[in-house]
Amino acid sequence: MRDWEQYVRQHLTLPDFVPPREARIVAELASQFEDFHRDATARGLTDDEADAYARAQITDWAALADMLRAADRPHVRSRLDRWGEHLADRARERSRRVALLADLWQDLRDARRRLAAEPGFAAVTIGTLAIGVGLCCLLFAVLNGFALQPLPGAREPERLVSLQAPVSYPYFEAYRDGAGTAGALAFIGPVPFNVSTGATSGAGGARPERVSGHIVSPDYFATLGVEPLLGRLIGADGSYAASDRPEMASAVVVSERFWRTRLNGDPAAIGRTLRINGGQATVIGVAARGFAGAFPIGPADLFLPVGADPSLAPELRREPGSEAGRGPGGESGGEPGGERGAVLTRTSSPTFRVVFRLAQGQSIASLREAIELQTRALDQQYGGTQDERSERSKTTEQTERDKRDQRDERVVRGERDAHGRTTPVSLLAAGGLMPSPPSLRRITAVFFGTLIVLILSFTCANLAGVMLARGDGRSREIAVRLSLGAGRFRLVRQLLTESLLLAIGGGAAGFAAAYLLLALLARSLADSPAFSTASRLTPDLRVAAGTFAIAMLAGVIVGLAPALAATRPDLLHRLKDGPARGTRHVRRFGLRNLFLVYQMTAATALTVVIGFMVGGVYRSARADLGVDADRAWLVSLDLARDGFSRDEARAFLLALPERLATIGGIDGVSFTDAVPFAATFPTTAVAVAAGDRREAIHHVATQRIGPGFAAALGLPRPRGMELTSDPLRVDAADDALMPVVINETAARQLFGGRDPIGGVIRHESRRLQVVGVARYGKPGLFASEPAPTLLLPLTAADLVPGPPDGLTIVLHSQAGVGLPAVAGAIARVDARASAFNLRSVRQAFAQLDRGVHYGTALYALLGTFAIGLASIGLAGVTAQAVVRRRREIGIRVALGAARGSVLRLVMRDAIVMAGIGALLGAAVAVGLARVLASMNREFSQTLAGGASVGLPPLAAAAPLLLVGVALAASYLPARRSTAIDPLITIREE
Amino acid sequence: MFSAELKKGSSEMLILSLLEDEPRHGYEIGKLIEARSGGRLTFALPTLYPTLLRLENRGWIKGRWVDKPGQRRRCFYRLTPEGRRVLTDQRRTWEDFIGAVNAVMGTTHA
Repeated sequence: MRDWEQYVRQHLTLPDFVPPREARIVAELASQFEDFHRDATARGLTDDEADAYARAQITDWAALADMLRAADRPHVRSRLDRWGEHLADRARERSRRVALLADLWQDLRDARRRLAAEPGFAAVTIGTLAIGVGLCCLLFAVLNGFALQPLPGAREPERLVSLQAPVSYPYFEAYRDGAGTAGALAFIGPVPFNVSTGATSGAGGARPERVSGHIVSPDYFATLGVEPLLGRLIGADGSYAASDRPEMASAVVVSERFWRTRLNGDPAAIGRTLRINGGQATVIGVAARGFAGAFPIGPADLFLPVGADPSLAPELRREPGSEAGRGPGGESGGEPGGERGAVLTRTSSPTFRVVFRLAQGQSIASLREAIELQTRALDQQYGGTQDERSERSKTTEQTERDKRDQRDERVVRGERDAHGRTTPVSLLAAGGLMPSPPSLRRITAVFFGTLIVLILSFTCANLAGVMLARGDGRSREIAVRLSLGAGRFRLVRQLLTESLLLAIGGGAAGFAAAYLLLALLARSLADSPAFSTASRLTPDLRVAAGTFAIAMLAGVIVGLAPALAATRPDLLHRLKDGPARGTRHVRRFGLRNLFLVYQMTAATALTVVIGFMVGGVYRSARADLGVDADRAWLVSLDLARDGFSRDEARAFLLALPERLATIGGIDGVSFTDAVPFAATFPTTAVAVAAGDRREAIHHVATQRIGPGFAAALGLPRPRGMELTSDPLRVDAADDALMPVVINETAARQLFGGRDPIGGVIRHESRRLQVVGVARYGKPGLFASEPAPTLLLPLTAADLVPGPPDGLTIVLHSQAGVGLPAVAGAIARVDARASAFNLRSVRQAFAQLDRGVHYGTALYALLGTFAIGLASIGLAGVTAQAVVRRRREIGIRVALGAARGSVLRLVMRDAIVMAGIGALLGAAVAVGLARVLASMNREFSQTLAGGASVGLPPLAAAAPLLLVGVALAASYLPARRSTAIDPLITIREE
Repeated sequence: MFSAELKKGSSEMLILSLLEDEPRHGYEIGKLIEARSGGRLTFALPTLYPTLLRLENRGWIKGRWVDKPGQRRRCFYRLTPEGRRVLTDQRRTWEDFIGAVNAVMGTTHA
């Protein structure tokens, strides 16, 4: 007989009835069907006939449902009722969740209690997490602070694109008008300005400060979409040309930072006059807060229109040293107040950086195509100079040389390379802190992301190991709880809560440490005016959120696997055995152990490399440069920016030494175009006769110096003679031999075994004759000797526009030197000249080395991380061994094993792994050094230099150190094995 | 046969009267009506059952599940005191109505 109840349910649906009522109706109908069926069979029908008869009682089920609804209204729920019931269901669900929360709270309290009972474990775990998460946070903050930061102050920065190579202004104008972009700007910069704000305050003697700025095309601010904070911006009204609008000739826009710090945030600053480079300019506006120029990686605080009066910036004058400036009457080229707007028509020198704003829907590729097309046309239009060049290059006798040599040869002959006109146009994304290829941001993000994942995986794998070891130790407790009916889910959750608690602690500690470090870094960088982005280094909300996510992720990863493993439901087994033994013996070369060996390897290699770096820094700082670091002083001048013409600058420098010598104690004065011993001298190619009528090309650093340079620095006298003849005084003919002093490295590299004195070097279309060999220069980080350097005589042409960091005056004084005295003496020669940045050579060195120190600190941090992690991993292995072999140890002790042999037993694994890792690491480090040597000339020289650099001793010492640390790390947990009481462990059977 | 309206109007009264002496279950009620009317009155299940529910909802009858050994569980309906009152009223009304109709139609009591 069929199941009538099921039959009814199949046909009758009453969703709007209250469920008990529905059940009753179904049951009652089913019982009646059954009665019909039974009666039919009683009347002699077959079962099938009876079934059909019963089923025939109801044919229209839908009608029945309607009738039931009509008859049984009190039990039909209205729509409102049903909604209400739904709500009630949800409330019940929520109350379950509240219960869940209460459970969670309970878990948290349990976890805290348990962690408090194991302070060592908690400390190690939180410490490791803090290091790992802190490092991730550092990386993330740096990534966030530099690569992910949009151009401050700009609108829709993602549409900004910049030309990689600078161009001349006519080229820019053609691009701007013809490339179909939504806007284009050009600027020169960053260039230094000597600015004094005291012109109106009348404070008297307000010393000019050097401020970095841009010389900008009228569309500069409009293209970037920068709004004024006060006043108006250049080009705000669409017209700019200085000739049309005389007032623009002396207009200047300042950054918010400049306004705040230099103008004291004066709300009435608009209209104030600034003295800039000896000229006067009126502040017409303050740019939006945070705006630091189009390329804020080199921040700008002043914005001068290209149409400004040339007295305001040497960059606006006709370029001295160029063909135009050198022509007949070329000396007037440096005159302040030369023809205004000269820079706008000159095509000979590409000094303008260009930024485009892409039009809606315009692609970078289509823009590049348009620009390339225009560049070809422009090259034809302005191609005169270029044709001339190729003519000249044809006439020169040239043997078979490769391309590089040809380029070098051009430089040797003093020709500039082509303006980048013939090279394909390259466009960069300009919406960030620095222009970068569009792919670079992605690559940077991926790189940092990978690094973070790597660090995180290191940390997690390590801690998971420690947790596993601990889970093993607790397996009996967990088994008991499981057997008493604790749910697996609940237990896993509890263990997870514990690791999350640890993660929160570690994350917070790591974040705090990273924050502190970054704040310190930002503060130490903040005093350098070239670093405007320092404040962004301190973690913002995004970094904080990212760090928190990283910490939580670490917590889950670290906790989940061991928790699942520990609650594995093979209860009986573990209740009986306690911590696993025998059957679950950890394979010696299981994944985890391989990982540990790898860690040891990496840590050792890193330690060697770090030792190498630190040693390099130490050596480089300690190197005996033969200089009187505490008696030699440096002070900077920027004559071009103080408004000097070339002739005036020459006269000034000729008069200066005498005047400075009147200051008590000063017994030597000289000058140079670069900070002595700086590592950033421009390198250039020179040619030296190499016999057989052939010339060898060498790359050397050059520095230009005045007479008495060695004496002023307190250097030993050069072999041969010092530069004495003064080209400042005498205009040497172009083809005359120019005297040069070279350093010992250059003597060896350029002349081999020959005596360099009297030798001739070709450089920039001039012939130089070596008159002396000096011990000069600072060995690089890895180099055992200084780079080859040429000390050339400073000529008048080097003074205006002069080097970007100004001219450096070198003073030698038995007593100390004060800036007021020096500045006073300088002002007495010419009141316009302003001295800045007085420091001893020792202080200058410290400044130069700062970047290196940051690098070293970073490596040291990484090294600590690596060694710390490796130690923790080894400690974990040992701890696990102790737990695993508890019983074995008990038996051994019972049989009379000595303490030492027990220790050896449990530490054996860790020691073997540490040893293998350390040996591999040393090998990797040596291999790495070889690879580096093949890529880096300095490095290879160092390696060739051999023992003085200390790689071999380091490669031997670092593994020893690491193995020592490993021993110490595994000894701590191993000690616990000696405390095992054989009675207790054996009774546990 | 009688028209549907006639049956519908009387069905409640018939059910109540069948329950006057003892509780009965739904199938039994249907069968009794059929048997006592000599097959002239039949109530199909789709008509009878909703009527039972309606009567119960009015409080005139009350269903109760009863397990009898060897038999399936059934719902037995019995008359409530109110149902009994209603039945008395209906019966009187019915007799008045029949009397009046007979008087008009001029038939005598059998």
